[in-house]
Amino acid sequence: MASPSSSRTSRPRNRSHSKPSRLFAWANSLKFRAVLVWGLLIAAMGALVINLFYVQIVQGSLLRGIAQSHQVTQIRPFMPRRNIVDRDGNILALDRPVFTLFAHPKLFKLSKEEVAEKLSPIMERPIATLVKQFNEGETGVRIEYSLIEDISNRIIDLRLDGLELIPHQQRLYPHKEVAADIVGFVDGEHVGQAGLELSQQNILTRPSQEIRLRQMGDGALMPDQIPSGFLTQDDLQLRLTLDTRLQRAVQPILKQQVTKVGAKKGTVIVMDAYTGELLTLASYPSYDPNQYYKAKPERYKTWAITDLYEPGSTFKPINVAIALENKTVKPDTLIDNPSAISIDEWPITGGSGGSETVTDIVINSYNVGMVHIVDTLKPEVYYAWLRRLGMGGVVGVDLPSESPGQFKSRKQFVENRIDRAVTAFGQGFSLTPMKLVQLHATIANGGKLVTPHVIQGLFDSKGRLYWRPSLPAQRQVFSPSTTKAILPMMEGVVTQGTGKAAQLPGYHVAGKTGTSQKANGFGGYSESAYVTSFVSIFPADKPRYVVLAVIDEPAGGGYGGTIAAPVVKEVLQVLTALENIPPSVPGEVSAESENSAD
Amino acid sequence: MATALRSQRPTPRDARSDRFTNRQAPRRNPPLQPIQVATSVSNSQSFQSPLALVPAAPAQAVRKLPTARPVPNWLRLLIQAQRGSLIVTFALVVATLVVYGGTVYMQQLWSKEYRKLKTMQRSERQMLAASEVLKNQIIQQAESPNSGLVAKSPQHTLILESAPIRTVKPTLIPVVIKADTSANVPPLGY
Repeated sequence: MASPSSSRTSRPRNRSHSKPSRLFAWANSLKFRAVLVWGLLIAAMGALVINLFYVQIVQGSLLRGIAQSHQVTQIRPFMPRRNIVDRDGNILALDRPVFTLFAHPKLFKLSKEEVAEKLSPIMERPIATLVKQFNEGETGVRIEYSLIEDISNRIIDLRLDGLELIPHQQRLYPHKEVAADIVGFVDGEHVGQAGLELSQQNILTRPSQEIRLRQMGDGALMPDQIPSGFLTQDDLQLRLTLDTRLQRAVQPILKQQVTKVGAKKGTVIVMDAYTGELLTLASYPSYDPNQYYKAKPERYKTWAITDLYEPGSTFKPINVAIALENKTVKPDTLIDNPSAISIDEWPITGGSGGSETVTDIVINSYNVGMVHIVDTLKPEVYYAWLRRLGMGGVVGVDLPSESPGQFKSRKQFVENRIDRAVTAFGQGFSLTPMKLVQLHATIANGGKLVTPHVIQGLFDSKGRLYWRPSLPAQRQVFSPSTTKAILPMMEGVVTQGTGKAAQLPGYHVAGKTGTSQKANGFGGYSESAYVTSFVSIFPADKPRYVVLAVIDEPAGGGYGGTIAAPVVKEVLQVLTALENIPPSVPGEVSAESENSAD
Repeated sequence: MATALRSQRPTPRDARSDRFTNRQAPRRNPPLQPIQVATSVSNSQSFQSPLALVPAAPAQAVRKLPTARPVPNWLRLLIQAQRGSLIVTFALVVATLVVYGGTVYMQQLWSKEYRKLKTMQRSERQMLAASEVLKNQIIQQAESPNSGLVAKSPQHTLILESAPIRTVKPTLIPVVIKADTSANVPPLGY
């Protein structure tokens, strides 16, 4: 039997048993279960909806941003500025990616010494120097400006914290100062500042735009959103007419002469007379476009097209050509050539004191004779002819900042005889060396005014032409018979006149010397400053090239025939060797080589 | 027991089964005692041996059961359509998987090739730059006076005078008539 205590306990148990059983029965009921499960499901669904709201609406933009940062990458493909190559394909300017290395010593996981120790062999810089650089600041210390890709990759492979590599592009001019005058340079922002880099900015730059691409977890790019033409980067390059070999050979010749005579500067231009292609445009002094910031800014200009000078006697053949074309004289016409004359009270000297033929006047460069030759022309006709030749205008060369020449007004020219008289021997007006080359090319090519240029066009890697700058059409200004008559006169200058220093054994060289006084800036001429020049048409029997050398202000004075002509001779020597121009008289070349061997 | 039954009542399925059992069972009997009804039936057919009852009962059951009628054409068509669509679905699923897999693989492949292209482009750039810089260095070395090299000049040019133009007589080319000997050569196969 149960104890009273137990019976007492059992009673409530019985009572309680009846209640829970009813409760359990209710709980066991299918309805309850169904409601419970339904409730749970609804609650879970509700929780999901709340979370969905939270994730999608409340935190939506934030999470989207995080996801985008993981999935989407922005890449800016390396879009180099187009290469500039010479006529043989030698690269004169090319782009390469470089990296600026920044150090943030605050973020270093290792000590500065350890980081320096690891960087030192890669950067070839002593540890102490690097540590000193790290001590310069807490963050953003620029260690190196232009690291090439290989070195930057090795630094990335070190996986050091606190080092940052920022990519940018660098223009490299492998041939340094060789073509600086033509190619120019780009500044730190990759914008052209001189030469073709400036004038052909639009042609040289390739558009580069950022592309958004999706990437996979491992950083691999997904190609499904790539814009068309993403991979087809054009391989066009700007090809020049320049002959780097000739340019390279000419530069030392020019440099040597400029230093020898103590001149301020010098330039040599070699142009194909038929096409206007410039084979060489050398200046001295020049600069290294890789380190343009080290050079004086006035060197950035190509002075053969920016600086004006009075051509002096080199202009005489042009005047004679005008007279011949107008049939006022013939090569053998006798012209009065007294030793001195006075025009409008200005004395003009430089005559033989007798009468000379037109040819002899050119050969010996008689000023008085020239004044009388142009006197045969009507002033209006003479002025119209000079304007027709483009005096006072620009040549239209494809290099930047070309200066137009200076020429008198029609009224002044026609009314004052002295203005016409000084024009006869190339003074009283100014032009660029390039203009003079263009004018002499008309004599070489049978009377056509060509446009000097350095750009051949944009070519692809297979050598197919893609774009060519439109040049003005060649203009016939002289008749071929006129130019044919001028050439023997100019050849006479070299064989028996003032330009003997330009004689090249075996070859017929036509040329003209020029020594002109420089304007002193006060309306008169300087007593000591001269510009010496020599222009040559080569070979005289089959004219093809025009070569001009201008030496500005030789210290000890001198003439075109003594200072500029020897430069042209050496240039012609190189030209014949490089262009394989056969001599007109083969025996003379071998004779000289025997002499030089002795 | 009573609560359980009550709880079963309201569900429609039970109601339907009730109706069904009502149709088969005698009406007077309460629907809750189908077993008793069965026993009462068996009781009414008393004194019969169970062996004799067996053939009679199936005969009645067979008569009442729906006979296997021939499948109608529309159903057969539907079944065939179902089978056909199953195969098509399977093929489509496989094709989808293949295409999807291919897409992912292609993207990976593209990514790999793109990386390769970039590396190659970089090498090209580096080689171009290096070769040009080297060219410049070599020329500078050659230009130095101690290099033992001299600049090319007309004196180094070998000038050959062109020979007088010869009049070439057209020579008669002997025509060789090749005899056809292929017929005499025995076939290699034998």
